[in-house]
Amino acid sequence: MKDVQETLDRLVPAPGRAPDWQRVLGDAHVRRRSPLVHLGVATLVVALAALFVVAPWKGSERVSILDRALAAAGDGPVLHVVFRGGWGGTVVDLKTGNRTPVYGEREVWFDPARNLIHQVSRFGGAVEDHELYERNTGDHELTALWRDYRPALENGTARVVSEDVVDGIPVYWIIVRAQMLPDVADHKDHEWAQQVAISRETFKPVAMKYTRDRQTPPGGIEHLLRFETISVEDADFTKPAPGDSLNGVAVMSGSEPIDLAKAASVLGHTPFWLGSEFAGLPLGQAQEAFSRTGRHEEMLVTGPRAERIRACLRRRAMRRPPCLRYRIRGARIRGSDVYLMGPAKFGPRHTGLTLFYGTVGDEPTTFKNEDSMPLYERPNIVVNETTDPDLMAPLGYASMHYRPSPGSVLLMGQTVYLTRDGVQISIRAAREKDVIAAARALRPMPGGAMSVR
Amino acid sequence: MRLSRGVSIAEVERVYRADYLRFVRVATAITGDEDSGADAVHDAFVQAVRSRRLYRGEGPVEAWVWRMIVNAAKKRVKHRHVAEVEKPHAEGENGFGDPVRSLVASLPERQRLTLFLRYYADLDYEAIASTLGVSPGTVGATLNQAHTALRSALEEAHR
Repeated sequence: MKDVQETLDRLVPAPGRAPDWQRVLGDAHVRRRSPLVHLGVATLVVALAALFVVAPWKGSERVSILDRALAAAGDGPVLHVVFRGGWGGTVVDLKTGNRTPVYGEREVWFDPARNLIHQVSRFGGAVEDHELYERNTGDHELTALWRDYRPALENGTARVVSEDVVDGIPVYWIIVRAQMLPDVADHKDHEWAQQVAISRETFKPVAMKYTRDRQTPPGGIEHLLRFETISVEDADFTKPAPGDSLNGVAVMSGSEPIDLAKAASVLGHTPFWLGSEFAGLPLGQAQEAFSRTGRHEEMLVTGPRAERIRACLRRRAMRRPPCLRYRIRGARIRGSDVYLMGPAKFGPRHTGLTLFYGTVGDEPTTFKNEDSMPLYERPNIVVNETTDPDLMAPLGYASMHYRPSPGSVLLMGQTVYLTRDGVQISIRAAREKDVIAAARALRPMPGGAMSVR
Repeated sequence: MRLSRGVSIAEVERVYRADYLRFVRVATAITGDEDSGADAVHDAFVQAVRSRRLYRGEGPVEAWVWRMIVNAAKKRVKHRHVAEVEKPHAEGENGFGDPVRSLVASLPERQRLTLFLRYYADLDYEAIASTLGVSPGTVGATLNQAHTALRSALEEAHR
């Protein structure tokens, strides 16, 4: 590249100037306006005054909205927020067909003084995960709520831009931060803005979104079920027990065909099935699903090595070039402790049952010439069953702890989840109506040996 | 309640003093003359001081400032309606003549800015990507295209 470097050096030689910081400060604080601009400003002030006389409620309301929002934000040192996740499912009552949405939630306590976050993830109210960790720069919602929201209300840069109704709650949308940034796609500047919606009743944040030229991307609204700033004593920074966290969990799993006569022994319970045929699909194969769940042991790191890992994690958070000499993959910081993830230790083998309704034959994409492969590219319905919580993740359960009430199923995409007599069951098909029909048709398998066609 | 308020004036000043000449050089490359380049840097830092509370901390302060400088320089070019690096130079003054200068000016804007930030500011791919709002991979590909075009022009100029 030497030729390019030399060419560019000659095109634009190094400048010979001295910086003038005082002039920058002067121009930043003192606005030098021409007499014409002064006249324009004076005219604007008169016009605004006239507007207040004509519609005094409008201006005063805008001022009081932000004042009330500031008061409602509180001044505790810990931020406590509950986000409603955009992901979820639908609970379907099998008798009535009534549908109720179920959402994930993320409850967060954030202590900026310690840069510490305690996060509890829930699905349908059931705790799924429990983490205590140091904040990284990637959590945009927390950053916006802590660093942008209250300061914008305090220093007067916040602006009420619209009124709206979010999830049935009347709100004001407030821009708390806006920047004009270029987009290389069209080489034009666009307004990128962080907006927070506050309830018109409580004046607390209930939603937030990031807009480009005031347009919201699809699904771009983050809902807040709770917002408060509280004291450290009132906050929950309980260190989670090892079993409460999904961090470090590892799974080995697989499946193999079995004779249907062994289904009950594999499951450890009377299996549920759809009969020897359902919706024109024969019961093609029964499989024993098995797994071993393990957890990577965390190793406490101390001394200079811990400091080096901390420094590397800081570099990564600031998007600087990575530290190549030190292993930081799987490194975690909790409070003052640094941990590295060690090898996984696996527990005993767990088994469950899979019933495949569909065509069994030779799988052309494999080298083996065998006639016992379930052909998933053809119409099929798959029923997974387990009585063992450790097998739920390998069998693809979306939630480890949420259980739909008896007589109902949790529908997520083309899969339903239900519980029958302590057996956790999932049913997957290509069409939603087929999985609902299958859930309704599910019944205990009659005892005795049966052969699979 | 302790709150972070963007970036401090002292931090902006530190960046200004540390890299002033590099800022002016890149802005000069974009605007085409050193006076305009220095004015663009001045405008950008006035803007940075005024909007320091809007800095989100999602990247280095330097990248935030670089974006403002590039925008301020582009704005000056736009207002003057003069193409970048089109200031006439005498043939043979730099040993390469006008073809190379014209070629740099005629490069697509992204290639030109990437080239300037890489060579005049000595920024790494991450920092250039952050400044221009593209991925580091795009920076690498764009630089490669600019190099290829420039080398061809250099060979042509030396014949």
